[in-house]
Amino acid sequence: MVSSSAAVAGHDDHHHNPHLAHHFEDLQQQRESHALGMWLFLAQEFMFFGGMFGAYTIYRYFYPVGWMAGSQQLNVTIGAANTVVLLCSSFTMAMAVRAAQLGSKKGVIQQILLTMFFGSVFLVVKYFEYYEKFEHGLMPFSTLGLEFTNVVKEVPGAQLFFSFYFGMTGMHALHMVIGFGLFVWVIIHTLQGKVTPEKHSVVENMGLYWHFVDIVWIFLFPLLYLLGLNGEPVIGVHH
Amino acid sequence: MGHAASDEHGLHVSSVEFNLRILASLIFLTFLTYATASMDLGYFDTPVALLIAFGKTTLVILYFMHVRWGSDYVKILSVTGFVFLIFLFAFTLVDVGSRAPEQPWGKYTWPGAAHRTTMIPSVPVVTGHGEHDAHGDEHHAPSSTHSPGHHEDKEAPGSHAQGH
Repeated sequence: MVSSSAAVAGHDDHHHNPHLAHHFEDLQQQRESHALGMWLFLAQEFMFFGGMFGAYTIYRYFYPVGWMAGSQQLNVTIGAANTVVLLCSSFTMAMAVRAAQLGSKKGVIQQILLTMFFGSVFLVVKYFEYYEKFEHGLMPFSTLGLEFTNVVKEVPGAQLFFSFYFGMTGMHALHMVIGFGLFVWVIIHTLQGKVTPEKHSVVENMGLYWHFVDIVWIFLFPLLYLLGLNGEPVIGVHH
Repeated sequence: MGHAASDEHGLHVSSVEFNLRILASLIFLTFLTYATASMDLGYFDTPVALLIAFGKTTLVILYFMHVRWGSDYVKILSVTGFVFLIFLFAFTLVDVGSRAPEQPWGKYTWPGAAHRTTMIPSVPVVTGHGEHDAHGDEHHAPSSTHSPGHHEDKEAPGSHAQGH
């Protein structure tokens, strides 16, 4: 449909494809530019979380036992279950992109709602996990009026492990909450009929963001939860 | 028109079955990493876990994020973040690794610190809640030290990792 003559004719051509912004040659260039911009943002996001993983690595090197003792306070089964839930949400997100590519408005909205459902399950579980840590005196932020009273604090570095645990999973959860806001915006966008097979970068970029959040968790799960399985209990686990 | 336009512009549409297969692989790898973490792999515990995590990430980036069918620009950008993270990790760890024993917290580090068999026995087993009463008489730990600061007296004779 978009012939090269249309591109040459430019602005005044009334047969100009309504889905194509004026400054792009064709739909493919337009779509690739949208993806490129999103990937630039994600490269920055990889480095943002990478900084935290770097700090985690250094302090784990300083306090290997504290890290082990801290990790053993986490519930691996819940962490693994939440990993699967988040992977399912990535799958439904991929299905939402597919629906957008095929022009199914209903499919996009259904799949995004499913993604939000899985995301909510993840966050609710996370809430109960945080609450349990609070109950067990594992909150390290004394400046916030909280206190680390658990016996694990005897092990040097264990309290620091929990600072990393809450910092990293908290930043991850914050990204999910922001994602929820973006989901609502994408649904409105779709309802307005702005998502078409020709132009659906909004859904595709939403997918890229959500998959990125999934990738962060793929690394958080082994580094925070599975670590504790690698050794015998440092300290009695108080569940 | 929808499908025709898609093909015409090089858009890749994954089938439902394909996406399901990727999901199944990701869930399988999650259980695999759980299983390998439960096994005693010694030094290789964390490397294996990271290897599996990178495998899962590759699946997500290539197939869910469509980089496999993306433009060359996207392919390059998708690894750029990781490349710069290699710089961050390599230079920081070389620096930290070569100076760590001089740090004030270096006394909590000892040779083979990353390996559990050398580090687990060096931690006093704390069984109760009262940490200030009875210093030294009702601990089940082989070492009578309670404060971790005293470790250097007891631990690893001949170790060079202590701060002194």
